[in-house]
Amino acid sequence: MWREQVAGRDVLRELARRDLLLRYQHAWLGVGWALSGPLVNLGVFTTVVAPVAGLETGVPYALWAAVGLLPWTLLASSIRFAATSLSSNPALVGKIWFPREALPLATVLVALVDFLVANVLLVALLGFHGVAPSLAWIYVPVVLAVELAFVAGSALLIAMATLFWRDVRFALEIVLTAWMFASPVVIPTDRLSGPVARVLEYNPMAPILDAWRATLLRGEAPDTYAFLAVTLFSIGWFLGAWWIFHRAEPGFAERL
Amino acid sequence: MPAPGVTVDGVWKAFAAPDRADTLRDALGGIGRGWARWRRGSPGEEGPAVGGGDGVRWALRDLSFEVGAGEALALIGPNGAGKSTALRLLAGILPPTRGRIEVRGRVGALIEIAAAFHGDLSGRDNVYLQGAIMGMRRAEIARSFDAIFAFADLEEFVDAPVKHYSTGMSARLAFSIAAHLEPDVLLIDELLTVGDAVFQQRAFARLQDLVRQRGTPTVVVSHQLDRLAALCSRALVLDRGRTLRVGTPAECIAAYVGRTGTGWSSAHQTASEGAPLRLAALCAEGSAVVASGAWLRLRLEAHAARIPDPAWMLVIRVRSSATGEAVFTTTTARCGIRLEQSGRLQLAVELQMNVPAGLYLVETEARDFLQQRSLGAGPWLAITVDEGANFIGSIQMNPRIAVLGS
Repeated sequence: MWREQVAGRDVLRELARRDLLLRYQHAWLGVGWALSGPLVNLGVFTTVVAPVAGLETGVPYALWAAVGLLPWTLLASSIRFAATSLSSNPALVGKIWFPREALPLATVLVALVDFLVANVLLVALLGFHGVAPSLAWIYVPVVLAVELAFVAGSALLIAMATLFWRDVRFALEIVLTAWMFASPVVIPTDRLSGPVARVLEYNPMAPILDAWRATLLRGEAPDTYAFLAVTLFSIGWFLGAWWIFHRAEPGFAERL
Repeated sequence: MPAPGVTVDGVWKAFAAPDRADTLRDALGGIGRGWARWRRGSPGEEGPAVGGGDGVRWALRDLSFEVGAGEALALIGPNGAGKSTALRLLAGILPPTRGRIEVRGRVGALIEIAAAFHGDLSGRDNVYLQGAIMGMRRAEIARSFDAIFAFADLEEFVDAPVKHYSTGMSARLAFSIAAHLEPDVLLIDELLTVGDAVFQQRAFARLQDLVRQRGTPTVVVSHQLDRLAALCSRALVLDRGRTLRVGTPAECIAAYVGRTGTGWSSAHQTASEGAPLRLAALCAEGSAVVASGAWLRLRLEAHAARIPDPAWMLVIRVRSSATGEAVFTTTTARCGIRLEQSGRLQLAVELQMNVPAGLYLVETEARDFLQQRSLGAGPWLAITVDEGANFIGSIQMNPRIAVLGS
């Protein structure tokens, strides 16, 4: 078991290295990919949607939206790439034994590197709007770790689901779009009320995004109760996903 | 640590029919049912119920063997006999449906040895990735790095992208990585066919060294019967999942290819009962020895349990036992024959044996070409091809030369 994890770490590192090498082989192209997604969204929402809808965000909208879009892109691109990570490698999954969780988890590592690169955008925006560094920024690694636990668990589950049900791939884009607008990514959701708001209370991405904004923009510690809850949930989610993944693993080869 | 080796004890392996729910839409319609089906696995005493037969397909039935230090076991049999399934079970990729498999020690699997190769990456990067996937630690790869490229004769191409390699070069590199695994237990799936003749010789010598000199317990699947005889200490003949014979390689190869002759080979008739389309018998008209360039006449008998699907067909494959390669494959569909009636079907097959002298195996299989799946392997026949009167080279061209004048 232990040996398995050690071997898994090597495979994970090599797989992530492969994808990063391929993506950043031409450095500017790699950086371009990492930046273009969030940048286009940010541009459209800042110049068109926010003025028309008259969104109230307390801080300059571009800044508010950037702190939502970057962590959201980390989640969305991890899930998007993880979805096909098992099913698009039939020769690997069907014929060779190796710790299979390395495939979806490598996509998370790649998305993490893209996220770190894209933070250039955030730093520029923070500087432009004159946001001073604050002591609360020490919470940033914690918030990132909590989000990564949630993202990694989701990546394991979605990779497995795509293997077992081929049409998950198609449902995924619809779900991601709906989920983005159900989370405070580019449009605040805190002024919603009624049954919709009650459902959205259970969206784990909402407290995670709130924590990003509290620490980075307002210089505060994350909301204790909500953040603690989502931390415990994310850890449980990751461990649960890992357990389910291992239980289902013997059936993978037959599903290709 | 217990001595390295392999124990296979009463192993059965079933594959579920592809009618399982593999879309979310279906699954949502029967989450409970889908889960139960996926969890299902205990076979009945004598395998699946005979009948409609689209259900469970048994790839292995009651397989048992033991391989210890200094032993190399060859698994012999035609396509669809269950050899590759057995190897995947040993590698831990598939779970057995019933029975026990124990592999002691670190497994080196020479199966899909280039699976992780990516054309845009350099030879160096590919070696690290493929090595890691095969279970080598980074430090081990670094230690063997130069030896890997030296063995593959590719020292000048370490930093070139693999897409600029020729097919032979990639194959050499892939084998070379696998050959430097230093495993406790070795699993080999048909890879003595990589690269040119010189490299094949070197690769084979390397395997012999691992198996014979170091005594690494080994299980090999190959169609290259001569090579198997040279490499292995024991052999096991599989036919449609059943163990037909266990013994020395020579005995087993004789048993495998020895089913020649002109009678219906009745030993095969029961094996794939329950399949919707099964091949019952195959025999050669006259002698099983033909001259190169001459016509081989075969009779093939099949049974369809119901009116055949338009996508069903019978496949006839000729395999050279020297190279293990399938030199020719044809199907009833390609020959313009549609299977339309249920019940017994008799076919006359003629093949012009335009091949060099040697031993050839004619294999049969029923397939569903729309679903890309086998309905079951059929009987096989070994044919000896004698050199014809005017044969020099690798293909028989049946020359005709006439004098037109002088």
